[in-house]
Amino acid sequence: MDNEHMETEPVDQPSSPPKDSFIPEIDSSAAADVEMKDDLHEPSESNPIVSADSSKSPDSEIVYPIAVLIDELKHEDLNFRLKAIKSLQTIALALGPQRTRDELIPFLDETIDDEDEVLLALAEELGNFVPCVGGVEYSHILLRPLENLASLEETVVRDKAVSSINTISQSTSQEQVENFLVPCIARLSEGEWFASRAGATKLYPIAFEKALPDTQTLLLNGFEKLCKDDTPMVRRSAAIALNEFIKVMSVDVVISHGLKFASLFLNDDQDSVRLLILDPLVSIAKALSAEQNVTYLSESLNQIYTDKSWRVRFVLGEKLVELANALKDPSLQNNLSEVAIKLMQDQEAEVRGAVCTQISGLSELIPLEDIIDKLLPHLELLSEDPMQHVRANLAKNITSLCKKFGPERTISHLLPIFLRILKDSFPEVRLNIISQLDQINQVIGIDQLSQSLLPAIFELAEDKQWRVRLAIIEYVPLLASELGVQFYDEKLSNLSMSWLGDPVYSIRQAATVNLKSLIDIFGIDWACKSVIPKIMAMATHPNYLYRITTVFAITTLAPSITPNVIVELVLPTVESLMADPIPNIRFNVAKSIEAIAPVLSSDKSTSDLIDSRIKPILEKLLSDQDRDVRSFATRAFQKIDVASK
Amino acid sequence: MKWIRAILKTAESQSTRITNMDLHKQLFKRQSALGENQNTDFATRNRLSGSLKPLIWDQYFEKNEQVCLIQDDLTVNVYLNGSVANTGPVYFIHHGAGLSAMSFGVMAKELYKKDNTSTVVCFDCRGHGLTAAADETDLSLTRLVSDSELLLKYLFNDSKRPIILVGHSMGGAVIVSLALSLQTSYDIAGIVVVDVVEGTAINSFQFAKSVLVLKRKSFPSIESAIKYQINTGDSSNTESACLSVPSLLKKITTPGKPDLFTWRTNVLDTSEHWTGWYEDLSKKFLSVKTAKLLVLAETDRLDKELMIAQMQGKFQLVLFHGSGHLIQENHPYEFANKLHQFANRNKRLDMSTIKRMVPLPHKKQDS
Amino acid sequence: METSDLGFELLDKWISKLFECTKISEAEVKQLCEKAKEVLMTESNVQPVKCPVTVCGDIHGQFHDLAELFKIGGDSPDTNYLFMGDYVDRGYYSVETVSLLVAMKIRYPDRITILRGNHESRQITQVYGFYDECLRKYGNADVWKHFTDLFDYFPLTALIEDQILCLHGGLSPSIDSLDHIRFLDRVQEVPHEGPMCDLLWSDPDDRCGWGISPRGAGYTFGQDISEAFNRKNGLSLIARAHQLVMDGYNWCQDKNVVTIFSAPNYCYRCGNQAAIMEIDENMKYTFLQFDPAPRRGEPQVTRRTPDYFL
Repeated sequence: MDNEHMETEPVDQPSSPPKDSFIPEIDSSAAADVEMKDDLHEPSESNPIVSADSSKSPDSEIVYPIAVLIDELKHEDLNFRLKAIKSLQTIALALGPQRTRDELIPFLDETIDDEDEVLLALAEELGNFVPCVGGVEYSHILLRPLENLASLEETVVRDKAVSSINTISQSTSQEQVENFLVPCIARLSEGEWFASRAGATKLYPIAFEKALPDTQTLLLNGFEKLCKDDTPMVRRSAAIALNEFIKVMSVDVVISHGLKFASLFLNDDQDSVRLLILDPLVSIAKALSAEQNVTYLSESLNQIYTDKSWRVRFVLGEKLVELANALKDPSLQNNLSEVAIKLMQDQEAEVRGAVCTQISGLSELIPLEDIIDKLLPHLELLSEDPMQHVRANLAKNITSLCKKFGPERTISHLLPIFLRILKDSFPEVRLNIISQLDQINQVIGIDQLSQSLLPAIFELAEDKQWRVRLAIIEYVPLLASELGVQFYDEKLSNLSMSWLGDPVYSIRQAATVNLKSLIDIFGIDWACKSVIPKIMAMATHPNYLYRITTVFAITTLAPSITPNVIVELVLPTVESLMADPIPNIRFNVAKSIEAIAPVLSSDKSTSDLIDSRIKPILEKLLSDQDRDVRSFATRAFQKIDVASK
Repeated sequence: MKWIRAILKTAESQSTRITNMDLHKQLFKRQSALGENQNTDFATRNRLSGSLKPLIWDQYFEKNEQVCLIQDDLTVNVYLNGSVANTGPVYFIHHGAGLSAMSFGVMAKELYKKDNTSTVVCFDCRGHGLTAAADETDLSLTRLVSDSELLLKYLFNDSKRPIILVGHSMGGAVIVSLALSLQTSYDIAGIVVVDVVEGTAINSFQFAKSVLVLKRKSFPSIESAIKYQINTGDSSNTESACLSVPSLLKKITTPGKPDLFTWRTNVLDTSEHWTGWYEDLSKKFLSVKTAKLLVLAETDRLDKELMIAQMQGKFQLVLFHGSGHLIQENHPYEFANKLHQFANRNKRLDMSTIKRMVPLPHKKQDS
Repeated sequence: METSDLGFELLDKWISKLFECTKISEAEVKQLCEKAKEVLMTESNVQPVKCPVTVCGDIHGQFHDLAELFKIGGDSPDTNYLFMGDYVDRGYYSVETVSLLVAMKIRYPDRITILRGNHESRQITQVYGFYDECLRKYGNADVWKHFTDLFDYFPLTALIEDQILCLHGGLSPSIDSLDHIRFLDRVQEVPHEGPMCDLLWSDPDDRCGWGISPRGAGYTFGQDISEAFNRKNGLSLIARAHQLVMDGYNWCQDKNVVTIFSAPNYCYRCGNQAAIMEIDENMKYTFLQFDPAPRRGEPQVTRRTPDYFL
């Protein structure tokens, strides 16, 4: 096979990382140690597990599961192999720490060459294996198999292996880090295949945190090499890892090295690398003081503000506020608000949409006058942006300005924009601002809100999108409680009743719940005058789906109505509907009785009716020809019986 | 917004990997399917006791002809099963870019076996195989369509025979345009497009180049090229690979050095034409007025337009799950079967062959 | 009494669990399918259905859109439903979708009718996703086997008040009366051809007479065919699903046939509306259209782009 390769083919043949290759700068004596120790475990001559013969073994009951394991790991069916991996801990437990270290781990390392799904499971299992090998002091044993997995091409496996190494290394000692983890990082960093180098990047932070000062220097040098790697994948991994790395650096190291790494990425010719630098930049800014930020970051920031790639500007747009807060310095922050305004005019809709998510945070950073003078004109433009998702983002976030603006300025400056948004042609935009009505209400008060926004809200009450209608319904009780009964009867009553006849079931449902809330607000006398008679009138609708709304309403409203009203206004309807030709109505009558009965029995003057009026209804339903009616009637009967006892 | 996150995520790990577990599993499934393929290959290879000897055309076709279509300009290398004077259907087959007539060889033999009244025509298109052209580089859609039209008209001048046009990948685009241009003058009884969909193909261009760059360039022997094709997972059928791969190679002889084999056609060089091949392919495919069969290796290769059309029953879709792009090579027998069924099914509807149910009178009263 | 071995309580528990889009266990699926088999076995190939009823088309594993459908049309059992097949394949939640509908069927056999679609078949589900989904969600193919064995028992057609014939696909040249359908032996895998196949595969067409279906199975039938069939069998309408229609429903053949499709934005990319048909107790019908449910945490539809297509 090999002799056929006459041309250099970097991709076809990923060579496994050679064991004897180290980063030259790193003192290899510790690593050499590892090499020797590892030799002891090399099961090259005979693999104790594979060759274990049950007749010779003193504990054959332990060998048996291993033999099964080996079988299952070789099984044709992927699921068997997966199961085998998932049962590794059990097997390790049976073997005990010593044999797990001496036999199982080397066996796994040597023999497993499987599909990615199996390897992924293995990488995950090994992360939880510390107790199985005898605790933290032996945890470095696990590095060997994980190191191999961390150099695989499949990103998912590699990431899992790296995260397992990180988990294990959380609790390891400095000595273990120096003797085992650092050499492991060194080998991975020197791997010929890009995957191993990419995997290595994410191990630097934890090693750096725990290593001796000299080793730290070596690690910084090693990382720098990866930042300059030829393969973009490695540089991307390094850029991601840099964020964690910064967090474990002292301020001095951030200045001496962190900034250097960041600037390498900032100047990368691939935008997919550059866009990853925002998070590390935030971490750097957090680590440094305001003054240091001015000194060290100004230039880099200006560079990223004007990046040619919209993808970079998109990430910048999403992280504006986070960055501003980390920077601390007022002049830098001021700069950033200028940037925000520029991004609002970006030619890419995605970028404009991203800045909209920052409005709330920006309003904290920018003085009110500046918001009104500089920011607001652009927000107005965004409310007419040609891209609907930009407008949707704006609608969701713009109401956060109300608090800062106060009532008067909200009315004079923001309301016109809100009104335009409420009439947007795209339902999601309308919904986004409706869901924020409360925020507006808190600032300008319900009177103002109703004066200026109600006409727009009325229009939305008949919106084609049922979710928009629903959002309005849910808002009605609040409006009603603030505006009072007269206003409701004049302006909202017809609307509320019309929802009961909406073609969409969920709207009819919400309408009944809405009426219950209104009865709770305006009282039972009010309900008897208008609402309840109207609901009962719907019981004669020719379509069962609307008649059923009456029954649902009875069930929903019952707890809010007095026993007398039930007897006078509700019970006659229930009695007429129990003979409805449609079984669905009849079994819902049974269900509604479950809600009515407790109300009636709660009052002495009506409790007799349970026997005289309610039970006869159920008895009739119990002999219904439809089994569902019988079944619901039985249930209702039982509930009433239980309650009366 | 969502898609942009997806792009950014993609940027983190060059390949299109989504962090969602469901999708991971799909991914694994594909890889395991590949793995299985490799296993089967391994088994096949063992069965053939390691033999990857090149196979020759004459075991698969009755006749090989050089047809000179444009004097001194284009001589097409054509393979035939069944005489052009036969009366059954004509299967006129166009291979994909970087492949050759032999890509359909095993299938063509099997297909003819099923219907010896048919004529099965496979040929190397311009810039491929043993076809010689003054301008080897003009692989524009217009040129390829006019080449095939010339050939078809040359072979079947006055024929009123039903013609089924079959094209793989780039060839699929060619035969769709060919059908549109021939449907008024010939009886186009069906079109069969193999593993190409406009939207998906155009999306794949960004990856295609890197895939092609990484493709191995030369081999010390034909066998090693066959082996390479199998090892990469592109071919899972040894017989097809042994027939097809040799026709894709050319020998380089340098004095003092051992012979080398390289690819006859450099697909990368054709990249200027890619967009032209596939633009409006879905629309054109749907507008051909005949029976249509789309053969794909994965269901999610349908673009929106074809998804809607498929769900409206506008064409027949056949899937060879996990087969890889070379469907006709990897599953030649099943492919021939489907093609034969398709041709049969779409002959004129004969109501007399349909069995009508007669209810039993006494039973009727029962129900 | 009606479900002796499977109590209402347990069924209600499963249903509410499934409504959360949480699958039930393999053992539970087995129980579910056994019980469903008993219930469905008693139903006719032309299952009589009373009005009022709400008629729905393809769902295709789009669970959240099925939940949206219930939000629009009402909950079961309060609203009566008739589903015309194609519950599985293509969408990401075939398992949850079909489990829920089958559980509802057992719980309220008189309130919901579920017919067989061409995707309720062993062969089709192996190609279009249900098989893979079962494997992915349960680790083995047993659940798939339980369901596909059950599919054999699903009725082929339903007849609302002797007036509206509901079925998944369309008419068959082998069949010209409802009795022909009644005499089919339906308990089997959907065949490749013949009357049973046609009922699940055929489409109406603008051309007269019978035609070869471009789908590769079933036939196309013209207005003359559907008119004659409706007249002969005293029907006012054939309601069917099977074809994507951009508005969710589509009248054709001079209102002899209506197509209803209930998977909005089919396959998460087609941009179509969905619809259901509410038939009230006076046989008056209303169509309700709806859009996809807002999606939370559903996998993004990112298709793998294959290496190359040249």
